[in-house]
Amino acid sequence: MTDMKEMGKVYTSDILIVGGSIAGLSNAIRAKENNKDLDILVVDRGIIGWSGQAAKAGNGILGRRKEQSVDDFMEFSIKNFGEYLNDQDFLRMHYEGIIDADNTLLSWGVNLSHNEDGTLKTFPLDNNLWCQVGIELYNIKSLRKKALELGVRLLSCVQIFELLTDNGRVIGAVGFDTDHMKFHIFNAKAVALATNGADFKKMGGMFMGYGNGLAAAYRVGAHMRNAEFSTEVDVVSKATYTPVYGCCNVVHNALGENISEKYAPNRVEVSPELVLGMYKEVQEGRGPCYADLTIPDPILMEIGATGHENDMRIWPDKHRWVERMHEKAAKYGVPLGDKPEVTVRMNLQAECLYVDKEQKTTIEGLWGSGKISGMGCAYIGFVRGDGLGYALQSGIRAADSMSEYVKTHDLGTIDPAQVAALKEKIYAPLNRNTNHYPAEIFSQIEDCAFHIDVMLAKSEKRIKRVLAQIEEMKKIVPLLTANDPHTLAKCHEAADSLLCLEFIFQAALMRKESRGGRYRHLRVDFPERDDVNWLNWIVIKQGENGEMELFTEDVPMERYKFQPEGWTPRKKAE
Amino acid sequence: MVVIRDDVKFIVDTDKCCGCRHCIRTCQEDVWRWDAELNCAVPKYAEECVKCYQCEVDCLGHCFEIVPLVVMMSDPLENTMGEA
Repeated sequence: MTDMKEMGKVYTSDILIVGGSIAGLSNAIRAKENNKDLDILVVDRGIIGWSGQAAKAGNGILGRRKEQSVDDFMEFSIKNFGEYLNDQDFLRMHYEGIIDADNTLLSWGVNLSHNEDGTLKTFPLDNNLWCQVGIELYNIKSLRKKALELGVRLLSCVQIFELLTDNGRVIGAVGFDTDHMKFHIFNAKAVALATNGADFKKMGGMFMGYGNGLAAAYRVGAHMRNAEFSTEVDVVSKATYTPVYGCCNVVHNALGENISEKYAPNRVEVSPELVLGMYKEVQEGRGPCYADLTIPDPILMEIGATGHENDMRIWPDKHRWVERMHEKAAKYGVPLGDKPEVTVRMNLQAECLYVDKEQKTTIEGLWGSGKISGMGCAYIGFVRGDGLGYALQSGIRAADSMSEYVKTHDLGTIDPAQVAALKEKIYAPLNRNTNHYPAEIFSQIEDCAFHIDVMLAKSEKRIKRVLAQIEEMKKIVPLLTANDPHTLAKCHEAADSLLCLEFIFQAALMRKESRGGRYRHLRVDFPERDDVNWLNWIVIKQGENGEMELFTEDVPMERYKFQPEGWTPRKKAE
Repeated sequence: MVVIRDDVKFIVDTDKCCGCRHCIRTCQEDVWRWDAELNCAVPKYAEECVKCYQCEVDCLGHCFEIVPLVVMMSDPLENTMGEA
């Protein structure tokens, strides 16, 4: 340990959680509730309590009423979102767990919509399959309070870039603090990544992950899954570039025609069909598009939460934030009004850490929860509010699994040579005298990937063009330079974002069909769904020589309740 | 103090900064840092701003304003697609 202390500050704990938003803090709180004697450390690159995607939520968390059928909800999600690529065991577990998880969150002191008797107040959708539950914007602040009360240790402003291993088992992590750039070494019996995935800088809007968790996991051998399902589409105000929640059925062209009805009628979400329809309208001279918020529409009311000013559906802190957005639009752009001009926003996301029903990754000692594993878990049942819902439940599940694991495992043995090599790698940009800065990579990613044709309507030619551009960008990575902690972190964020971009486009090249709802994989050269050849998951791992290896895993459709119409088990090859 | 980076402008009244550091605490993109010489928070990495305005909402001293110079550089619906 003496060597180690010379290299950096050393921390030990039973459980190390990287990421202090709702998934990470739920993990920590639940683990403490399971065993108050566990030493639990949460580390975050921001300030815990205000950091993470959940700190920008507040438009509701997924809810369910007891009388609402899990089977009906599953069938809807399988047909509309996953198109039979869902892990139906995971999906059932997740939907069955919604009510308990929301009640747990309420018991932890987070402000949720509730009745006078303290029970959860839910707001069902018109389809009566699921509900929304109102949640405060500052939900992480409330979770921070609970975590501290229970004795969870919180360490803010330290960013993790690499994981430590002992004979293939993850036993810790390393990174540096974002104020002074001091090296920090963490040793734990079990490690969870709750770091968000990758969102590729500004075009991802204000929900930002930089792929550090995914990349670190990949480098120690963890598998990735469903990376090709990556593009979330939204209709956004042109004045604020923020979503017009629930407007999927009320988008009009400049002639006043309802183009939602024309291209994607009666949806609960913005669909690729609507986005491509809007594109067609504008290209053919019938733009710009606008959302008519005066139309009585159930989705607009429920997802957009109109008419809920005083019933805890939307909490005052969220109202204040939204009002600021509207003030800015009115002062410096165009007032939003009730017919805001709209365009599309495509959020490219990598959330592909492969996890099982206990949120275990494919590497011993490593768990993943929250957005980092949103597609990697393969439940593919995401509806509005389930970003928070999945983060919450996955954090709880990881805690239960980790609590058991640490009963029978020790800290393992840190290899000083491994730590030294990782430290050298992490600080390498400080010693380079070049003119290449990380902004160059982010700018090139935006230039090459953020177009409708490569994000939403892919083809082999377009995908290969992006992959070729990625190869060019990879040549810049070893030249990136930094002279302060902020830029040093950005160097690694740029490199890891690039790796995540490669996950997405390599998997997209392999899947020769079109499939999926909200995160649709659409190939214009293979526009149909192919249940004969593609009812399988694409998995990515790092090969022995460092190359990216892709292979497929069959979806176990034989034992699933919901099967595609006309589907028959595939005959095994002789 | 006026800081312009890319598509955003920060107008900071450094005399009004009360030192609450809420801007530093709440920013997810590490825009704000404490300047010991000026004894106030400054938008050191203003180019990282994603215009969520949460820092402005939380600031106790109401000492700065973020001006969005350009909300969108271009409308993706107006771009032509690449080759088929």
